[in-house]
Order: sequence, then C-alpha cells, then structure tokens
Amino acid sequence: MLKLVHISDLHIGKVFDKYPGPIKEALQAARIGTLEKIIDFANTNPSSLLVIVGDLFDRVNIPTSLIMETTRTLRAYHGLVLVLPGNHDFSSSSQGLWQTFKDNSGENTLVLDDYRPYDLKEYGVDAVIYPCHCQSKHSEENALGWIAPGLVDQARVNIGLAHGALEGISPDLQGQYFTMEKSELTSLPMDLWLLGHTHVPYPLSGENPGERIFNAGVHEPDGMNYRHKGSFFYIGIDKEGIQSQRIESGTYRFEDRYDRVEDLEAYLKTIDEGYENTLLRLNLSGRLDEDDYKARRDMYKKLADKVFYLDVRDDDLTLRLSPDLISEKFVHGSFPEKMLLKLKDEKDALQLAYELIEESR
Amino acid sequence: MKILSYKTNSFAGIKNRSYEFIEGTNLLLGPNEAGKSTIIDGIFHTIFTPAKLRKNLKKDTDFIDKYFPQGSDTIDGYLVMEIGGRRIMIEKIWSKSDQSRERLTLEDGSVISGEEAIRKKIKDLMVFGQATYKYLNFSSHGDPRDSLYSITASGAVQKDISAYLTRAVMDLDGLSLDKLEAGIDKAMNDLGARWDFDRDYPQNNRGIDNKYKNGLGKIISAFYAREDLDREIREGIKKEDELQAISGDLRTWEKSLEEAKNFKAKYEDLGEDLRKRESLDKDLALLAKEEEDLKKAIFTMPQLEADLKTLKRDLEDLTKKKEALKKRLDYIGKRDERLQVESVVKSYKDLEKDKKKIQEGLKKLMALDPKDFKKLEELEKSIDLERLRLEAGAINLDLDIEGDIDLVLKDAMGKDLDKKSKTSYFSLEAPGLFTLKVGLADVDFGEKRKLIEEKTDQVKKILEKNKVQNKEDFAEKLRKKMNLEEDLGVLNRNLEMILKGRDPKDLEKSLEDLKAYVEDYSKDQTMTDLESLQEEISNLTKDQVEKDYFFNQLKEKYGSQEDIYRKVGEKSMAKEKAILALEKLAKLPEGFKDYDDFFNKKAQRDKTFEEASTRVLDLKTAQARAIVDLPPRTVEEMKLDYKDYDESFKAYKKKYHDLVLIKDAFVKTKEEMAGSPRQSLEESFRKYIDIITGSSIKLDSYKDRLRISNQTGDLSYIHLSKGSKDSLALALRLALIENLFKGPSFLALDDILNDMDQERKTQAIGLLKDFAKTNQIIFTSFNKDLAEDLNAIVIEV
Repeated sequence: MLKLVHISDLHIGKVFDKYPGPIKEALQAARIGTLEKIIDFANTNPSSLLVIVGDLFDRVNIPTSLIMETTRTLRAYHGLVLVLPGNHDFSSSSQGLWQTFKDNSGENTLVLDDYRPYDLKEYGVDAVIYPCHCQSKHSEENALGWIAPGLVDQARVNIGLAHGALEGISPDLQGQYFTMEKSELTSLPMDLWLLGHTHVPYPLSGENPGERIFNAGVHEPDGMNYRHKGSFFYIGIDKEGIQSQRIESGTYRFEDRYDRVEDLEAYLKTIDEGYENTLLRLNLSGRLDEDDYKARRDMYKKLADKVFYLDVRDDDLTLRLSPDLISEKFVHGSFPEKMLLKLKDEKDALQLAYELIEESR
Repeated sequence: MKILSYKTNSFAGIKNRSYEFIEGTNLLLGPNEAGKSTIIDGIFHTIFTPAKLRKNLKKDTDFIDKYFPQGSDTIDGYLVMEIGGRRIMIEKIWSKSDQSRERLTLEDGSVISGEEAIRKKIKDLMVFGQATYKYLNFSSHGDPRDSLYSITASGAVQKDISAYLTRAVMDLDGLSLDKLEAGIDKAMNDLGARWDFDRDYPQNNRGIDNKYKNGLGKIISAFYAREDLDREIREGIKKEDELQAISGDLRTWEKSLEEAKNFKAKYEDLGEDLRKRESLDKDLALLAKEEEDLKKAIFTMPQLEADLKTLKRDLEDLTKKKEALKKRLDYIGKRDERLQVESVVKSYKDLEKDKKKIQEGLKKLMALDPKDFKKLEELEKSIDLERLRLEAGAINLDLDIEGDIDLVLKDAMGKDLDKKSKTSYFSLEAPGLFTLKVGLADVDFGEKRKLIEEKTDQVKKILEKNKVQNKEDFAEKLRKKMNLEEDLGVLNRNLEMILKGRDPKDLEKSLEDLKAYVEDYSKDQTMTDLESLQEEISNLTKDQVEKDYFFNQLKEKYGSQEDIYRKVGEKSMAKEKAILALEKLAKLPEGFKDYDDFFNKKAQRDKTFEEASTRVLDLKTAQARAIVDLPPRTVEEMKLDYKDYDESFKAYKKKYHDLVLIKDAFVKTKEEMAGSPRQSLEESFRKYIDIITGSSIKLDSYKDRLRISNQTGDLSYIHLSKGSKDSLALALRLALIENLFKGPSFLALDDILNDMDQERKTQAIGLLKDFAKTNQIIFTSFNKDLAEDLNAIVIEV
C-alpha cells in the first residue's frame, strides 16, 4: 500500500502584520516550524510521498532566503516531495519563485508545473500523478480540463492533485478560485483526489471509508477566521481502497469569541487555562458593576500573561450606570450628578462622561 | 437624621468598642492615634460599604489593607440610626474569606438582607447617595476648603457671592469643573484634531495625498491608516491583476511560440519541394484541362453541326406556319367588314320604314294652324270675361205664379231660368201678352249678348277650319303633329350617322362582294398563336447564331477532327512526364487545403515565431518586474486588516460623537446651575460667615468682582490665613448641609479648630453650638476643654 502525507496551504511568507513584533515573528516561524514537525512525522511513520497541494508559499514575491529555508526543510524528508503550485504561488513561466525553488530543491523534490501525467516509477513509487496546478491567482475555470480519461491507465494507482475551491465545501461566491464540482472530480478515473485551497479540511472528521476526495486544510492556523487546529492527512492507498487519518499539527490556534458578560471575573476564570498557544480575541459585551469595570484592564493584563496573544474588544462592555447609581455616587445637586443624568439615555456617552469625571476628581 | 450608637468587635485598630451618641454635640475625645477618626470611618463604612469584598478590586483591597488588623479575617460594625424619626439598625461583617454578611433591621422589626436590597433601602431612607454624605457629612474638612481654593485659584471671574457659591456647589464631589472641561476638550481634540466633521473628511481637504504631518487626532490618524491601506489594497489588486494579465499573455505567447517552433521544425524543409510541386500541379492541371477541352471538342463539333441542321429545318417549318396565320388574320378582317356593312344596311332599311310611317301621320294633321289655336284661346278668354261682367250684379228672383198662366222666364242670354233664381237679368214673357225685362241699370245686357254671340261665332269658324271639335281637341292634335315632326328629325339624323355619307346602293354592292366571308375564326387566338410562334422563331434563331458561332470558334481553334486527335496525344504525353516529376517531390502534408494554405500558414507561423520570441522575452521581463512590484503581503491579508482599521475609524468617530453629547451636557449643566437661584444658600453662608468671623470678613461685589475684605482692606482668598480659610470652608459646609437636608442632620468633624486663632476658634465654637441646636455633631479632638466650649458630651476613646 502506498502511504503518503497530504498537506496544503502552508502560506509560508504570510506576514501577520497586524500583530506585534514577537507574535508576528512567532506566527511567521510557525509556518515552517509546523512543516518540520510534519516531516518528522512522515519520517518516523511509513510514507513514500509528501504531497503539497498548492500555496506552499503565500505569494509569488517571496524573499529568496525564505525559499531556501523551505527547500532546506523539505530536503529533510526521506521520501519524495511533490509540490503543486497553487493560486497564491501560481506557476509563472520558468523564472522567479519556482525557478529559485527548483534551483535550491533537493533531488527528492518535484514541482508539478506541467499539465501531464507524472509516472513516479522512476522514483520507486508505483503511482501516476495528474497535477492540476494554477497559473494565476484567480480563474473562473479550474485546471482539470487537460485530463482526458483516455490518458489514464486504470491498472495503475492514479492520483489527481488540484488546487481550487470545492463547490459546496468552500466559499467562492464569485467563482474566481478554480472552482471544482465533486461530480467533475469523480467523473475522472482517479483512485484518489488530493486537493488544496480551502483552509478547512475535508472530510473534517471520521474515518470516511470510501471517500476518494481529500482537502488538506491548513497545517497551521493563519487567522481569526480559522477556528480549528491545523492538520494534515496521512493516507494509505492501493487498488483495493483508501485508508485515511487526519492528524492535528498546528502549533497555534486562533479563537475569536463573542461573549456577553455580567461577571467579568467569573467569565475570565473560564479561560484561565489552556490558552498558552492561542491568539484569543474576546469581543465582549454586557454591563459590569463599577468595581469590575474599573478592574477590567488589570484582569485583562493578568489573563494576557496566560494567553499567547490577547486582543480584547470591549467597546460594548459598559459600566452598569443608572440614575440611582449616579445619585449614589455624587453629591445631590452637584454638577456631575446633573450632567450625567442628562446623558442617562446615551449609554456610551454616559459611560465616557463618567470616566472623564472620575479622571477629573 | 442622627447616629444613635456604633459598636464594633474589630475595625482597624479598635476592638470591642461600643458608643452611644446624643443629639447636639458629641466629643470623641482621645489622644492622637486613639482611633477617633477610625470610629468616624467605621460609622461611614457600616452605612455604605457592602460586606462582600473582592480581592481583585483595588477599592476592596485598599479597604482590607486599611481596616483589617494583621492576621484578622473579619471586621464588623453595628450601627443604630434614626432617620425621619424611625430607628434602623445596620449590621456589617466584612470577611476576607466567604464569611461576609450584612443585615438591616427596620423599626418594625423587619429584616432586610442581601447587599443590593440593603443598599437600595438605605438609599430610600437617606434620600441622597453615599457621595453626598461622604463629601458633606463625613468628609475631612479639607474638601470644602480645597473647593473654595480651587475656585479662586482658577482665576475664573466670580462676579458675586452667588456665582461664587454656584462654583462651590459645582465643584463639590471633589470635581474640578475646569479640569473636567479641559478633560472633555482634550479628549475631543485627541480624537477630532484636524478632522472636518461637517464634511466627514480631513480639514482643508487634506486627504492622503496631502496629509497633515503633525497634530493629528485619532480619527484622522485612523482615517489616514485606513485610506493608506485601502490604497495599498487597490494598488495590490492592480498589481496582482497586472501580473495576472502579464502571466496570461505570457502563457498565450509561449504557447504560440511553442506551436510556431513545432511547425517550423516539422515543415521547414518541405518548402522547396512544395514550391516545385505547386508549379507542376499547376502545369498538370492546365494539361488536363486542355486535354479535356480537346476531348470535348471531338464530340462537340459534330453535335453542333447536327444541331444547326435541325435548327434550320425547324425554323423553315415555323416560318410557314407564321405565313398561314397571317392569312387567317386577313380573312378575319374581311369577315368583320362584312358583318359591319350588313348591320348598317339593316339599320338603314329599318329607319326608312319608320320615316314613311311618320310622314303619313303628318299628312293627316297638315291643316292644323298654330296661329288659329292662339286666336281661339284669346276668343274664349274674351267670351268668359264678358259673361262674368253680365253676372257681376244680382237680384233675387222669386216668381210665384198662381193659376194656369203660361210664362216663359229667361236670362240675359235667352236661356231658361228657374222661378227662384239669383240673376242680374231676366225676362218674363207671357206669350202673346207681354214681355217683362228686368236687369241692373248699369249694364247693357243687349250689347253684351251681341258681343258674346259674335265671338262665339268666330270660335266656331276656327274650329271648322282646323277640323277639330273644340279647343282641347285642337290642342291634342297640335301636340301630336309636333311630336311626329320631332321624330322625323331624329330619324333623319340617325340615317346620316349610319351612312356617313355613303350611298346605300354602294353599301349593298359591298355586301354582295363580301358575302363569302362567313367562317367563325377567333381573332384573339390567332394573334396569340402568332406571337408564340414568333417567340419560338426568335429563340431558335438565337440558338442557331450561338451554336454557329461556337462551332466556328472550335473549328478555328482546333481545326479538323484529325488535328484534334493529334493534339490529345501530345497533351497526354506531357501529363505523364509531369506526374513522373511529381512523384520525386515531397507531398503536401495533411491538414492543409492547398499550397497557398501551406505557404500562408508557414508565413504566418514564421511571423508568429518572430513576434512570439520578442513578446515572450519582453513579457518575462515584465513578469519579473511585476512580481518584484507586488506588495509584501497578499491582498487577502490586507483586506482582513482593513476591516480592523475601518472599525477603529468608526469607533473613534462614535466616541467623538459621544463627546459632543457630553460637552453639550456639560455646557447645559453649567448654564443651568449658573442660573439657579442661590439666595437661600447665600443667606446661610453670609449668616455663618458673620458668626464665624464676628463680621470681620465681608463678602461683597466691587467693580464686578467678588471682594473679600476686612477692616484693613481687601483680602485675597489665597492670602487668607489657614484659620480664615477653615472658617470660610466651615461656613460653606454648614450652609450646604442646611440647604440640602432641610431638616436635622449630622456632621462629623475632624478637629477643625486647631489652626484657628483664639478669636476665630471662639467664633467657630459659637457657630457649631448654634448648628448643634438643630443638628447632631460628632467632633473628634484630643482637647477635653472643648467639651465645655462646645457644650458637648464626652465620649472617651
């Protein structure tokens, strides 16, 4: 049985510019760091192929040093590395990114940038690869068109690689990302389809006997819109069937939480542990007692020490201010009482005015 | 409202203490650090600080640090108060662990528990909030003093004592109005600097192409950041699109170049052979054509000869038929002439017969004279006139004859009359006896009768002459005669028209000559046949001319049949020779229609090759440049960031909007408070100043400024002694309490008399004694002499 590791969308070179320096650097480094972990896995478990189905790089203008770091990492794999240009790192003539990549790759690395079957017999692997690489960032047509069923020797293990949106699985509202239909894939005589582009893996869970289509998803999460752990597929295939396993690989996680809070201390206790490698964005709303409200920044600060990166958006988290409370806090008939009562129907302004008054005392 | 008792087992440094308080002044007496202030704090916190403490709150940790003795887990306070004549008891146990509890017992014995419920009930009972009590009733004396100081130190113009007090009230709560306003303005400036809110754009149209460099508010900064990113995104998209377009073009041109290269490699060497082949093919085609023409001529020429003979014969037959049809047309002409003459002769005869009949009728009416008829009409008219004249006048005749007498009664014309008549004249004659004539006197009946008779006679003669019965008969016959004469005229005209000047005899002779033409041939059919025949003749003639021409052409070109056979042989040999030459040359490859197609495509591919080579080179350079030009992060990543930038921009604007509302509330509150009447407060304040300073300090208005003065002249608040400041502050504090509570209240005073000189102290004591008449004072001091001065009970601490 041919064993392979299927990954995609590594987006090496992604900048993460909105994060502070050390976080940014850690996220950038994790793109390759997690690849190294996957290669360790592939080297310690039986596998002949490491198949990267598109978007190994985030864009086509990647610094040479990073390309070389990537090729150096891939050289560490004991088997054959197959690299398919995706829409982010599309194949653009015989120069630039892929030329540098090829020039620096080991003998174990093959860039699949021709629309032709690649018989891997000469590499000691009994399989034929049908690559459908991208030649541009956007395309309304997918790249499956070149595969004529007549080309395929059905006695061999035939594996199709394609990068693009899979209809029904990934959102591509404008149809600009090489969209493929499942029926298009299954109508071609491939034993296995390995896809890339959609960051969420498919299938997401289960052993999925009989499934012939796999989308790797990201190996390492890359933003707040991705809530799963990074992962890859470990697949075994022969003419009898397919065995697959989705293995989690990501170092960091992104979590974008929207919560309504009444007791901030109690709420923050629920996220006290297990977030050391999480970029956590808390979108908080609700009304707090003054004590909690005043202490909130200190509480965030304490939480930030336990979280890899914390971004709290608490514009909608307000002080529970009421006319009663205002009268309680200020001398009757005093300026602040009168002024704040004028703003009692403007929640945000009231809050801000209260803070300004407190600062002025 | 007053404090009745306070008890604690442990609160800060005091343990197991219990105190009772009276109305009036209570002096908490003890040395420094004895815990006097702690008792005041204990009372305050028992009322207002919730039992449950949170370790994460600075306020609560401060409370713990300040009031929990070392190693102690709980502290407490038990307070009995009277509010509005009703007693309540408040119990608080504060704990670092979870032992905290609190309880409020009302006068009726009902108990309220729970932090929120107790807080609410206390608020209801005490009317005002915690802060009011903190600043007025429990505060250290420094607060009102500082308040007064800050008003003066701010330099704001206080025109009079009312304005001064207004500011004092405004600045209560430890709030500095100026600081607050400055804070609002600063916050607005921090956000809104350089932003034009009306246009929702940077001021002076300073967009990202002409940015402000300094003094930027957060809104404009966020706007610039967002717009910069937006531009970066648009540039990124543009550059990605450019790269996509270049890459697309490059792929197309590389494909063209590849195809052109393949074509070149495959067909480059075929060119010369195909050129020769093209020429030979042309020769062969020509030879084949000539051979075919010759072979065609072998069959065509005899056929043409035969056709021409047939045509000649057919044309002769048709010409004969044409002549026969012409003759038939002549015959039809004679027949039609006969029919016409026959018709004329018949009409002539019929008309002659009618003419004779009319002439006979006329002969009978020859005697009738139209003049006589006219004369007759005149006579009869004249007779009728005369008779009318005779009958114009009338008398009634009524003759009654008795007996047998023969009488004859007649009228003027001699006619018999009835015995009873109406007449103008009558004659009665008894034959033989008499004749009586009676008539109107103005008419000559005799003469009239004679005249009528004469004219009647003339009428008779005319009738006889014209052989008619009467006038009507005359008229009838005269009309008949005229009709016949008219008919005769018509007949004569018809005869002239038919004959048209011809002699009837001549016509009859012609008829005799034409009588043989009787066959009923159709003229139209004959004409149609003739036209059809003429067309056939024309067609055959044309065909004959053409074939004759063609035949002569062939004959001229090829000569005789023998000549033709010889030429066919020659062409055949030439063909074989060309075919042999062709076999040695490369053939036109499949997929090309002909040599032109091949050479066109080849030329096209050569051109493509040249162009594609150049274009691929150029596009590769352009692609490399476009890749270098790409932004250092993808558009997708930037778009995600843009959302955050936009949210910040909008949040800042929203915050600014809130600040506008705040500023508005600030201004309105200030105006409202400035306009509030302060008369009552002013009176209290003046009263207390008078008491406390023994009228030595005056507050009045001078040259639009508040003036503080004493006997020696104007004073500045800043330059007043601390004792004087304390005096003014005390006066203000008491005035505020008096005005706010409108009833008995209490006041906790942390020995305020220390800094006053003896005179001022005496006056302050007087003031406090005065205040204590209606309110409760808890006064802390180490000076036991004060007990007597203040008329206070002493509570040893």
